[in-house]
Amino acid sequence: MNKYPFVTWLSAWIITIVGIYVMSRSEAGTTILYYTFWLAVVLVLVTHYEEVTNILKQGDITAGEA
Amino acid sequence: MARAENIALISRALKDADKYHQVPAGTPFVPEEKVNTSTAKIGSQLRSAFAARPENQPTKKQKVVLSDRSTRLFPGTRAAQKASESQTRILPIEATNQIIGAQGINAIERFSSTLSQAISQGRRNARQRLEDAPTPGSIWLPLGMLLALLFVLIPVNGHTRIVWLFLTLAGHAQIGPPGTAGANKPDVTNEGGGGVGSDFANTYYSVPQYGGYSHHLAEGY
Repeated sequence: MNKYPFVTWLSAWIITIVGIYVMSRSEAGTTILYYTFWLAVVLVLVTHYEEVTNILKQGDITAGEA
Repeated sequence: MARAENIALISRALKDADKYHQVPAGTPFVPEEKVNTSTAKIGSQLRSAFAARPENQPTKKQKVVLSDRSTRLFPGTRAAQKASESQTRILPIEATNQIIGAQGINAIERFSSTLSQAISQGRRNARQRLEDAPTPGSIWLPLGMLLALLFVLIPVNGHTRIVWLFLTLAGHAQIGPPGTAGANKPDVTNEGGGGVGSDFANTYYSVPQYGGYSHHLAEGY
């Protein structure tokens, strides 16, 4: 059990943001980020297919059923 | 160490002598008086002085290495002759070992050099390919889609993240202490009651009994 969840959470975000910033400084790094983000979009769409299609089709959010 | 220093000094003296036809002051193995003779004579004197020094005579273990260097640096000197003689007395097996060892070292050096060149070339190629790859729409297109999906379209514990953010900022939901995540589901009906949910194991969102988002919905806000 993690005794310091907030520190872990914040550290992970800081590392991620700094890493993205450093990569975006170079052209090759930007390309890697670009395709990584597209991959993430695809993964999110695949794993949350139902939610996204429900929202897009019905236009309402049924709270509590997520 | 002293031998290496001597060699360095002699080399420098020879170079200077070539330039100015005189040996600079303070050079060892040279008489006190100023020498204004030809370069060849100075070189000869220096070589003789070098070879005559007992510490410059190679030991038995150094014979092969030193003789090779001495012969190269000071051909014709006594040290070079002795080294040449000692080389002829080396047993065939020792010479073979030395040759094989030298070849092995050369092979390792060649291999490491080739490997490092191949790695750096591969890195350059990979970088060039990445830089040449097209990125239509720039990086903001997939990033914006991700943010839209995660914040606006995908609900978490009953609301999308942007709605939860709004509720939290408006005071209709709050982040509670850790360890109570998922105790209840948020209530958006008109029945009141608290709702708790979680995005992470350590965070939960609580909809208060009075004045919550459900109340707003029920009131038609």
